[in-house]
Amino acid sequence: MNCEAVLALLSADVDGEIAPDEATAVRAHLASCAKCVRRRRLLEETRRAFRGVAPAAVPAAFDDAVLERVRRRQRRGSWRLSVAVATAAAGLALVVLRPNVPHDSDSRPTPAASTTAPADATTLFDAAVEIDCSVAGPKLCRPAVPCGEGQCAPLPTTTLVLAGSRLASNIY
Amino acid sequence: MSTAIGTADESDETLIRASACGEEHSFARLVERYRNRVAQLVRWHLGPRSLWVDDVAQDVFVRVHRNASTFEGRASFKTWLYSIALNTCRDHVRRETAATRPGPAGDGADEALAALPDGTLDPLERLEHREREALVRAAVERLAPPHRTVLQLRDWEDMSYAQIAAVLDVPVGTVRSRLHNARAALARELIGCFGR
Repeated sequence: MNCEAVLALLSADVDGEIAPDEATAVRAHLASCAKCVRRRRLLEETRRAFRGVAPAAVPAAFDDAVLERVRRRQRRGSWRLSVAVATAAAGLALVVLRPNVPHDSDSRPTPAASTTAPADATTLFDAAVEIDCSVAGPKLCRPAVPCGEGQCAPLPTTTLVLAGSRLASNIY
Repeated sequence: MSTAIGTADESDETLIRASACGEEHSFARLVERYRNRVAQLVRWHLGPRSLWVDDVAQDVFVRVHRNASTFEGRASFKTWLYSIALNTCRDHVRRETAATRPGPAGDGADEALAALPDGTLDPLERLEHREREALVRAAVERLAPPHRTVLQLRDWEDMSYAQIAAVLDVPVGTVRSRLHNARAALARELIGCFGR
């Protein structure tokens, strides 16, 4: 191994981060090369010098500032959760208590209409759960709004609640 | 600097898991344990004269808290923490300076191995501790940010090359050459001080 190859390994050797066969080759080279011995010593001294430096201390109020920010974030998070749960519950109630109206896919508001007319909660709900009864095959409809094709199944409660949450996130 | 910290009861991993369960005092212990070194990493990444050091260092811990539940223990806490710290620094640099000045140089520049200066740091040993520390600190601050970072992760945090590679998201070979070049640059700076 020549000096150039050893140089590439010296720092890692100081750190004990080279493979055993590389370490053996470096040792063999150092035994006969005073220049590389000096280089290795310089790397060790440099490492020791850096380790002797302590990090600068942060201001005394640092910890309190971090903890206060964390608490503030938690408070904000729990408030948002409360609003989301309340909105989800309201959305659920809207769906359950809605009067039975025969489902007609033609009467569903078009996306354009939704953007121009004020969106009621049901429209937003439909957008949130992305129900499309016009496609063929078994469908899932809201229990209060059967599509009349005899293939509807009630949406699971969890889906309704999730949909309510998505509705809530659309609103907030 | 030796950083062997943590006991069986209060290992970093135990504390971060407790933090995820809402134990604020566990999180406070982690902040206390790492605040100076994280702030130093941020300072050296942003530049010693940056006015944002404390804010960004706080951001690091807020992110750590927010993501505590995602800590899986596959990597050590330190690897995870410093990954978050460096990502936070990069985000800050991107936000603040992307349009006005280039980011820290040197990421791709250190694959070629730098020569070591001919000399010794013996004069350093003859200085008083405080004087020596001030001189080395000043020399470190003249290094490129990637060099300061790799030195800190290795020599303060005692991280393995593989851990450093994970934090920096570079191959282990790059860690090896970057660390060599960082020490060569620091040695050059220090030897230069003795000649002045």
